[in-house]
Amino acid sequence: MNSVTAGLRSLPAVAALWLIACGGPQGNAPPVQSVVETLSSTDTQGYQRAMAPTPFAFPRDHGAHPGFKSEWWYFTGNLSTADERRFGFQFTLFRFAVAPEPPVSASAWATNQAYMAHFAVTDVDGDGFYHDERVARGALGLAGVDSAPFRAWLEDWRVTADGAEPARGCDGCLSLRVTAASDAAAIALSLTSTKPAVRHGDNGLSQKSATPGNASYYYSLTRMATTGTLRVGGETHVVSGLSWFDHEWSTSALEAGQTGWDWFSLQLSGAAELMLYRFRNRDAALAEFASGSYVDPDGGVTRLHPGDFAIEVLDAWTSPVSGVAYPAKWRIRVPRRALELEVTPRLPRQEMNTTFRYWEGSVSATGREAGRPVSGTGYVELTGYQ
Amino acid sequence: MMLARVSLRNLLRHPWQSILSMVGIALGVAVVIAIDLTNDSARRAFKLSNEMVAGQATHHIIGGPAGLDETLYRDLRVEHGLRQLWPVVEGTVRLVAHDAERLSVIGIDPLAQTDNSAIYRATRDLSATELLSTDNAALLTDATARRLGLAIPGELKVRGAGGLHRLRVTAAGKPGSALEEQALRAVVLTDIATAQVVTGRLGRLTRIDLELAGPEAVARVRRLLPPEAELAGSASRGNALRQMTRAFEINLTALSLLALVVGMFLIYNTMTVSVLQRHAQIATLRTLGVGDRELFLAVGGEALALGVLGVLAGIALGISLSHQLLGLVAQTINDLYFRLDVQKVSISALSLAKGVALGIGATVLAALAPALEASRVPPQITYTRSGQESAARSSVGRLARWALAPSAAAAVLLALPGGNLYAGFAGLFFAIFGFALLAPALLLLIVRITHRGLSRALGLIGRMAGRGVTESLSRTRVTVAALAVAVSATVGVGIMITSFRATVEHWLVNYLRADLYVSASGGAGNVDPGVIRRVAALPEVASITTARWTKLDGAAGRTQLFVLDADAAAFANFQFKHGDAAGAWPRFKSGEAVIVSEPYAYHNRRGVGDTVVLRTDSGTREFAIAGVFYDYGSDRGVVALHRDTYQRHWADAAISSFAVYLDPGVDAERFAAALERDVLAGSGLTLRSNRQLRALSMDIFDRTFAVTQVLRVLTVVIAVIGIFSALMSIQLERGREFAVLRANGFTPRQLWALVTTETGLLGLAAGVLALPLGLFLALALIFIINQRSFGWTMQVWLTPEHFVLGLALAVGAGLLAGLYPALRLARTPPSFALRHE
Amino acid sequence: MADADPIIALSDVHKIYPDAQRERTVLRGINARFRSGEFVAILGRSGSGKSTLLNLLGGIDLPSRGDILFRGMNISTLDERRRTLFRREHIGFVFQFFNLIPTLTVFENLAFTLDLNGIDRARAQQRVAELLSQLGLSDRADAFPDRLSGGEQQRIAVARAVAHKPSLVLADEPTGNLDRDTEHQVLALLRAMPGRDYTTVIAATHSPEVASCADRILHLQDGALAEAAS
Repeated sequence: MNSVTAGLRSLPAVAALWLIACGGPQGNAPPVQSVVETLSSTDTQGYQRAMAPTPFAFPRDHGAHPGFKSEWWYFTGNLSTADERRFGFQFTLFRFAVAPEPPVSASAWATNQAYMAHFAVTDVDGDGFYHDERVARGALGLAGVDSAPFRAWLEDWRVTADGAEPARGCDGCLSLRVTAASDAAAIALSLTSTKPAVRHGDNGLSQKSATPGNASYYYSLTRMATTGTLRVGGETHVVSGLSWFDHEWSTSALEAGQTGWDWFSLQLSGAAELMLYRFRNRDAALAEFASGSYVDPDGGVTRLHPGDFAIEVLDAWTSPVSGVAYPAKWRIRVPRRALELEVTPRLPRQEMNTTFRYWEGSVSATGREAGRPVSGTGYVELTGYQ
Repeated sequence: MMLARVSLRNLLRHPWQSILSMVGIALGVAVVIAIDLTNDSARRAFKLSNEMVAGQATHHIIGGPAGLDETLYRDLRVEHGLRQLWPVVEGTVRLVAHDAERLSVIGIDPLAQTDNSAIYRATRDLSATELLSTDNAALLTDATARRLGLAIPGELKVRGAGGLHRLRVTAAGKPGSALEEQALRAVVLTDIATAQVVTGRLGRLTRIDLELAGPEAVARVRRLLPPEAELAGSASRGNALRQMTRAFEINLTALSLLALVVGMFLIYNTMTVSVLQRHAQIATLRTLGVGDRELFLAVGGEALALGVLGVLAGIALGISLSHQLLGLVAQTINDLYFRLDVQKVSISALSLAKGVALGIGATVLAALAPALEASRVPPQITYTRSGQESAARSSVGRLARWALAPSAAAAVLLALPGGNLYAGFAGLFFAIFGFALLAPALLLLIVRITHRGLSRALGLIGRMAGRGVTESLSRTRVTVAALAVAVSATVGVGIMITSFRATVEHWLVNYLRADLYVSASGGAGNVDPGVIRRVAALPEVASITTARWTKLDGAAGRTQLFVLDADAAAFANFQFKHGDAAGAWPRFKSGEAVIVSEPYAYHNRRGVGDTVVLRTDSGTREFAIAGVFYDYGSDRGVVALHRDTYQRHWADAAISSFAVYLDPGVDAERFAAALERDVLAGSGLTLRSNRQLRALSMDIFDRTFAVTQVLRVLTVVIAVIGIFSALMSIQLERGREFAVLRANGFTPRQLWALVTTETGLLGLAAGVLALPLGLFLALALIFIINQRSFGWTMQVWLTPEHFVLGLALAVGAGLLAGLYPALRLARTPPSFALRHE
Repeated sequence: MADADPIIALSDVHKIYPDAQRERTVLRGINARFRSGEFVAILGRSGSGKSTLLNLLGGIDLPSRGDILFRGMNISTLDERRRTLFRREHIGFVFQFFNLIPTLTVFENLAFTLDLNGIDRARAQQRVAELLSQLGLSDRADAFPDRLSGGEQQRIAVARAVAHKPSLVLADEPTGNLDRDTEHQVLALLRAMPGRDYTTVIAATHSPEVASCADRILHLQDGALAEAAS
């Protein structure tokens, strides 16, 4: 599970907040709503819900699902230059429906779809973290997502199919070009999936709490070979590495009493990937909700249930910007795979001070799998910390 | 110092005189302050609404008459990565329930706004994305909702160019300040999609606001623009619009200054008479060793004290007067220039300071001569007044000669070709001043002429009255000059308005030749072409011409376009100042040429043979000017072009109004009633007959001059007060003389007759003097001031009413002023008066 | 008999008015000296030039020819401003029509010349109070002149003339507007003015009563001054 904004009560709240933010996203950080407050919405009337598993069909399901309240396309990756200078990047496009139905209007501007994009670059060795946010309406071609050919954009931040054919028979595979630029950083990357799409949970239905419908549809492209250029501090670097693509859509997800979640995506040296998430509860009586997927090198997926893994926090870091304390080191155990990893942020300060404050950062992992040493890189997302 | 006490006591001894001259200055200052505050408030309201729509934008991209293609905005953001830009769709709608109420619909993209301007601040309490999520959602301010009697959430039925729509007002915002409140008073904020639909601008944007830093960014945007679009600085756009009302403001200011000048005569009059009355006392003071400088300062100080008190009262009065004038001025701006909602007078310290400075300055200036006079009184052991009067008589010629200098200055300023408006007004004031200097000589002449008639009619009293005027010339000359100036002002302005009105009326009769006119109400909207087709198909209709009023905004300002599809016959309705209908028509029709109105030609210094440059959809293009026509509809002027020409260069088929020519013999009234019932019902279109439209135009004309009329009346009030106080003090001063008359057997009635004859004679003299000056002022206003302000040619229409009224006013003021002293003196037993003088 | 050290001396003083038609010579070659403390009456018919002479003595007007020396200073060469200051300091005036300042109280009228001479407030008040009590008009201090009788007004006027202790008091028909009783009072006052010891009084008059009080009588006739036998 990959987003802070899952199951938003409504976009109006988002945009109103955003409107208050004088000077735009880069200005004074707007007050951050508590995740619980945001997610304890019952206003789902008229929207589609994720009630039961549904077969995904590609490329159609790469596109937008405007009947659901929220949706996101998440690209994260760890890259390095030829001389081993390390970077991380995040590019996310969020979609929110502000009303179940589009307005009846002859105007090309009329829409019930709003888009928000987050773009961040982590300069691991340069100790830099740059992030930016944009919002636009899903109309007039200002922002949107098309499925074939794939195209997801918000103004001039865009992800487009680059025309290269992914491997034949590779289900849901994509070959993409991601370009985004802010004043501080820019990326122009080519991403090609080397493994088919991974459907999480119950064949793509990812349950978030015990209540039916509090779930999303969720798949990932867990290993995308990446090359391209990356600019920070006025300097452009030729980079390569691995990216991870998540696509998830839902109408409501969270249960009252859940305070936030921790989410891990790790790409391991043996060409396996691991995705884990767990919800944190305020209410101790609530059952712990956690889930994961282990993807073996040839693409086989093992679904992980709450009892199948353990996450232990080893360290903490307090943001000087927000004063929020986040966990900053974990030990992950997956006994079924004889897998034990120590996961460490490659830079502590990867806090996103955007409309919603969260921590989303590049991490590295070392440990052992089936007795052999294993290492990896990935991204961790931490929400709901105060 | 003791001398100051003498001065102060003197003011208190003559409370009437002091109070009246204070009132004079107070009124003068009040008028100046009121006009300045009013102008300033209008200016502020404009600036505010401009800022409100401009926000933090430094520039705007503006298009042709139909605005911009909306895809330009997308391209700038998506293809070219521009960030600080915001789309705006703006238009006017009318409330269906409330036809007089016009609202500005401003459509924004709430998701694009990062801006901190009033309009967005005002929505900060509102859930702005409801604009997006609710069909036809709209936001108002609290105050506006209350004013419209709207419960929140509620529904507003409006009619715009996009037809009839229901706006769902989902929330009411509380603006952060009173100024913002005012700026948003008649604004409905909607999503841009809603605004496009309601204002009939699908696919179009009114403009794109941008924040651009530095000339490179500006140049880059310029390169990206299509030919029909233009990039203009926010300030330049505002300035260009402001320019439109400049002449109007200057005219008001000048009229207010005229009121102050009359007030100035008042102070001058009071102080002069006061000094003359105290000649003996001053001579004693001089003998006792009071220096000339001390006397100068003492008299100046007295005037200053009156001036300061008058100015203070004038500030209070001016502020309250400005509240009255604001509505009138705002109405005019809305009628003639642009949509401006200004409700509140903003009290600017600068306006008040200007008023104070002008008031004090005028007082000091006016007191200069009497103070100098006081300082020149020689010390004397035995004093006679006759010396004073003979000096006054001998100075008559000298003053008349002095009148030459200001008259010459006036002549130069007024006649100077290409002189500007300020020079024109300066000339006018010089002329008034010169005339005031000439007044004593003319007064003597008038008395001499009337002498025989008076003595024949009234016998002894008539002779005495005439002599009384000349005997007290030192006092009466000032009073008569002041009254003459004031009366001439009202006569002059009156003649000017009458002439202007008659010219416009005459023009309308020739111009409005069609039988019926149908227009989209109040400019908010367009005419459905289907309606025109249906009307044209009616058997009674001989022909139809359509018109489109639109404007081209550019960095250089706004050009009013008048697009009409007239045939040669309708074209012949234009009355040409230069060129002629027959010669201009083929070139007009072919699209080679346009015709421009007289004010346009004047303001832009263009004429037949020159060209007009207009920004078309395919870039700027030159059009020849085939004729200059008379038009009193717009004081900034219009460019008229044929519809074919227009549509060749601009993708805009909208029609604002059409005129219906009926077959001969058709009963226009019955036809109109049927048309209204069968075709126009529910269309939102307004039908007016030729006569109704003319009446409406004249209503607007009269509204335009409402402020002028108010100022005119105030000037007269100031003058009458001044005359009243001056004549009264002259008469009261003669108590001793009258006591002698009474002692010698004059009856109270005879005395009364003597005094009123004398003051009446003075009034008459002032009135007679005022007539030629009034006529002169009228001619200067018509041929110079109006010409330089607006470029209009006017015919002079002289009707006796203004002359008669002016004369009656002057004589009336004179008689009235004689009444009180006459009564008082007549009632005083002679012995009492004798003893005390 | 002229003193060797006169307070004011005229030598060959002429006054000619340039009238429209012809010149009018009012004074022709006046020579006179006035001692400190003497009371001199100048008699003459109306229009004989009495007022003109007083105007010249007071520095109000300038002679067409000749010199007027005040304590050796030639006042006919002073400019307007200096003559004003000279009057203020050295001369007191008594007018036929009293010429009190109507807008000032009795007290203020007396304080006026003191004020002009820059005497401080306290001293001025003391001096005025003293004068008023000597005149027996203390109870009228706050009255305005128009509430006073003619005699009272002229007594106040005399007091005003001497309030600042001038060297010379010029009086123009000082009793011309007074009845006989009042005339005596005013004359007595003029003669025995408080502190008059060193003040010269020159009174133009055609009243024999005034003349009878004078130390010296001069006749002005045909523009020339002649001493009358006492």
